[in-house]
Amino acid sequence: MPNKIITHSSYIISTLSKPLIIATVLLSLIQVIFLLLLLPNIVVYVGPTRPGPPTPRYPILAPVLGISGFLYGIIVISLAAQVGFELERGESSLYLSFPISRMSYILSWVVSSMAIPSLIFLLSLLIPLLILDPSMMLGISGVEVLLLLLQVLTTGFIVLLCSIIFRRRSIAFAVGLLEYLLLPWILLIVLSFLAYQIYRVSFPKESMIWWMAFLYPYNYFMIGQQVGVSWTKAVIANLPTLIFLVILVIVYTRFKFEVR
Amino acid sequence: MLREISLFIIVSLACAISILPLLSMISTPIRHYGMIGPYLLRKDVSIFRGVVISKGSQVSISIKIEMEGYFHLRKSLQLTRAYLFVIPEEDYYKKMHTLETLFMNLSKEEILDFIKKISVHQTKVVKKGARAIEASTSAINLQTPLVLVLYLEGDLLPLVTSPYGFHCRYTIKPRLNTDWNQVLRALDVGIIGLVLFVIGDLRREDSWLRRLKRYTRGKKSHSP
Repeated sequence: MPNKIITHSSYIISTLSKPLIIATVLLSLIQVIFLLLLLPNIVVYVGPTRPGPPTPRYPILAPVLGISGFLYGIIVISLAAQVGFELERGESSLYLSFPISRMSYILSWVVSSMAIPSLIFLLSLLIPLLILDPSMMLGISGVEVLLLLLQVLTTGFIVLLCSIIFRRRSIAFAVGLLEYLLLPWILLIVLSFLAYQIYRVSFPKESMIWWMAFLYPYNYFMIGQQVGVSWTKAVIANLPTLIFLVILVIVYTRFKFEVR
Repeated sequence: MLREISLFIIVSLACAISILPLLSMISTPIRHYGMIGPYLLRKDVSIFRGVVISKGSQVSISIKIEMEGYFHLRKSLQLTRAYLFVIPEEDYYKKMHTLETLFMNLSKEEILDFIKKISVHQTKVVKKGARAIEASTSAINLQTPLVLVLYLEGDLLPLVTSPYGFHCRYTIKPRLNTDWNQVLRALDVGIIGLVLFVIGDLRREDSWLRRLKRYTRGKKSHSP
């Protein structure tokens, strides 16, 4: 089964290679340029006199990840929605006529639409650091990268689920864009408006943004910086959601997934 | 899949290498504002403890420091001598304690000599208007954490009687220095990427390298 998954994901990557390579090269360029230009400011600490070693500062990578994370999210959404395009055009029935199970077929899409872009995303962060100073690879805010990976993977699985349920790329893509780009900000605007109008309290308060940790751990961590939210809380809230989505995809594929 | 990933490694490496030479020319300043009180204070000499500058990496970085200060005083401050010292953090904590205990009994020259001995860099502070001062250093190599210390000498009576502190802004301009080790590491990554690319490509049916080989062979056979 793993061989079949890798072979089919390899095939998917080769069919998508041109747009994928263009998009990832763009992502890499942006990430490498921003990371290198901001690096002196990232590694140098200026603060009040004190005897202890410098404490980790967050968010360090926010200016870099703000742009590259957005592109990475769009790449994952568009690739995960591509399953819907295959199901829509009936190409998937052709692939499934070969000795490949439905589960392997969907898992190969998980590999090519989420695992490979995530690997590329990590590589474009790690390569400049590896050249400049390998010790920085572990020292530089893995928290932000981890939270962004979790957030994008959560969206990726939601889009994949929509693709296999609705069998339409357009629906899956629209759901992805709505969930990843619009929904968190719309909800935040509504909540901050209500918070001010009804309770006359300043935004953000942790009690107003806790819901973000389930689907948007990175956004939750970034917005909650001012009120001192912890990144572990974001991970603990998001992991069950992500696992639930993965199980949902597996269960749906095994028992309900049909190719017409 | 290996071909695409390795191609990506090569592209992002090329990108990083092309930016490396620019890094020593670019510097984005880091600013630190603060209201600080004097660390040691006398009518004729005063020492202000500034900020700590440290780095969280082994990469070579040089910094330029600019300091602008403002005293919240009614009277103008009469300064005869003023310096901004850059002291390694370790020496600062080891030796400043001694100065602290002897401060009231030492002469101005002795205090100045003491700080000069433990500092790695010093620059003259210039008076700017009645209540403001400024200083800027040349490039300093940031190896170990550094502490900035301001030394003021003159008629400091208004400062002794004032309940207010000293408002200060430090601008640190870090610059990344590139060296041969980085070039060698880039070469290593490039070789690994290239080997992976060749392996990944030759395992594929639509190999680009085989196609290139066929194309060059075809060109050779057509040439007279």
